[in-house]
Amino acid sequence: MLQYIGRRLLASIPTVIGVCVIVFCLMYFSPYDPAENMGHMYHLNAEQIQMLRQELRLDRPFLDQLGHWFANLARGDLGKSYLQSLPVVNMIEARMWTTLELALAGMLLATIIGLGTGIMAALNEGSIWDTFSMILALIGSAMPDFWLALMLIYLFALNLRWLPILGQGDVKHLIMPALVVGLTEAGVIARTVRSSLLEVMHDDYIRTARAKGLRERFVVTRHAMRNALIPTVTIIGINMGAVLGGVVVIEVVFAREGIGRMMVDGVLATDIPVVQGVVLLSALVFIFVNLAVDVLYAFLDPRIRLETNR
Amino acid sequence: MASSALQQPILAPQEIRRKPLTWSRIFFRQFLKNKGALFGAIYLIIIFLVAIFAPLIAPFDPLDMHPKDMLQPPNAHYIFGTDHYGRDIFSRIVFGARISLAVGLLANVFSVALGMIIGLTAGFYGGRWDMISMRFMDMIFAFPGILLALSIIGLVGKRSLSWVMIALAIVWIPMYARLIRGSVLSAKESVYVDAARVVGVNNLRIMGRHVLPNVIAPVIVVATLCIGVAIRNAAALSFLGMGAQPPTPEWGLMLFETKQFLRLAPWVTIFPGLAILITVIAFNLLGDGLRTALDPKLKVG
Repeated sequence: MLQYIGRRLLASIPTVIGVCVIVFCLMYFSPYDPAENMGHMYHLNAEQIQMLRQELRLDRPFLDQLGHWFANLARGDLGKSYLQSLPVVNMIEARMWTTLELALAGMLLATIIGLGTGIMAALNEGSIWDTFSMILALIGSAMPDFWLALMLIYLFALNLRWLPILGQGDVKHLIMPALVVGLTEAGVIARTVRSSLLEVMHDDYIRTARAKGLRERFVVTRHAMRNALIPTVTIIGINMGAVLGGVVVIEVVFAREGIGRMMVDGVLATDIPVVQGVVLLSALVFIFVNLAVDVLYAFLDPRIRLETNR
Repeated sequence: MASSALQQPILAPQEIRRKPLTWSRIFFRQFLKNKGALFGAIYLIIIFLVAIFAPLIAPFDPLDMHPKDMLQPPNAHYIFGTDHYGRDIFSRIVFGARISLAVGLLANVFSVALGMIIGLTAGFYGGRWDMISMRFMDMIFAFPGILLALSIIGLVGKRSLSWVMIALAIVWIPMYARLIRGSVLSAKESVYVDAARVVGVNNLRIMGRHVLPNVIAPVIVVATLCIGVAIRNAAALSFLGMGAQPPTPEWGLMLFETKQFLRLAPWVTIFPGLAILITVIAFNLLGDGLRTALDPKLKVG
């Protein structure tokens, strides 16, 4: 098992390095010249712009800049925001928890609702309950999250006045954003759980278990669920990536001071270090989450563990 | 007399009249059974027609302002009401259909085209190119979709619908490349490719006649689903101010411009969002229906 983890870790190192290179290249090949822009912003003359360019190392050759980029990364330095002159790492740190609590709350909600609905639907296949919940799941997975957010705000904040609209900090502020994330992702999870559970339930060994006279609940949990769990876990892992993206829009709508909103502000102001920093961080988180999912996968499905030991 | 009875054809009269069982017949039969897919298909045909004939269908010019009539609720004159500039929302949604469909389609066309080049060659020729290209695809795939699209737009510095389209296309290339490569690999293992090789058919021909049909089916399914996702993501990016710029009647942009009036005039935000929602649902249903209808066909072939 540890061998598998070690091997997966090793395999992901080139990907991590590649991701860092890509993020660097995005900046290097972009037509945007930060020195020129800052020159406009602060009314610098040509000489000062050139000095700025030298300071930002923009006139050095490709490999030089790349090396400097990696050296900084190794030190945990993601540069300084052009707009706020704060180290990007500090900015991220300040906003990290806000985004994290939204992502986790959202995923938790999505998993609970999705799993529950999917399982119920699969066990009652063909019933009204099944059809109804699948329609809801379809709507949920197709729903534009920013629109759902607006509708929820209208209902709960403006009309019923139960919940606050903007900001973060306590549970009240977390409910609506987490609901938006949760409901949209729950749809996808529900449909996947239902189809994988159905596939498993129609398999021969389930019939055997039933023929053996095992109680239905035992059959479902011990045999069916464990096997249906594998594609489910994969989907949840992939959805983590979708959640990382979805948080961005939701943070903007609910004016939460999170990393997603930082990214949007950075893009709007073409604040390159911020954009680079956030996208790099999110890619690394995504890689890590997928690694964790793979390990979980191997834990759940012994065949994977044993197969790779050849 | 037994012998003459045996010489009679065994076909009953109704069986003689039955039409031959071709792929397309199987496909259509499966497809039409699926009510959801039917709804999706019909809705999309309607939306396509609306998009094409937008100037004829929309009662007003989508950019025309009628300041005296601003923020009116739906009424006889303005079917969906008006926005904060007095523009007719219905007309804007009709013209917005053009934009959204175009963006969704084009983004996926680019993505599929590039993904196909990479996936076909990687799967078919294998070896070093396969390894390098798939590694590269993994790296792009490591970025969460919207964030990568945002960073492309951010680092290019230009906020427009075209760049949204390009960014989304880039984000999905790895998915299509892997999908196609997978189909190519499984097709390569099949008996009829071996047979063709034995006979001496050249590689390009094999790719075209045997591998390609097996590749197209999953691509069509995924592409259909992804057009819906593309429309929603493009709307999301426009909602953030990154995509379509005012006064373009893009659905996401309409939500961006009018969200400040949520309390005063909620209808302004309901209709564009509903348009996005139903269109994405339709693509999802169609994609699901295609998947179910095309799958057994693959087994038959």
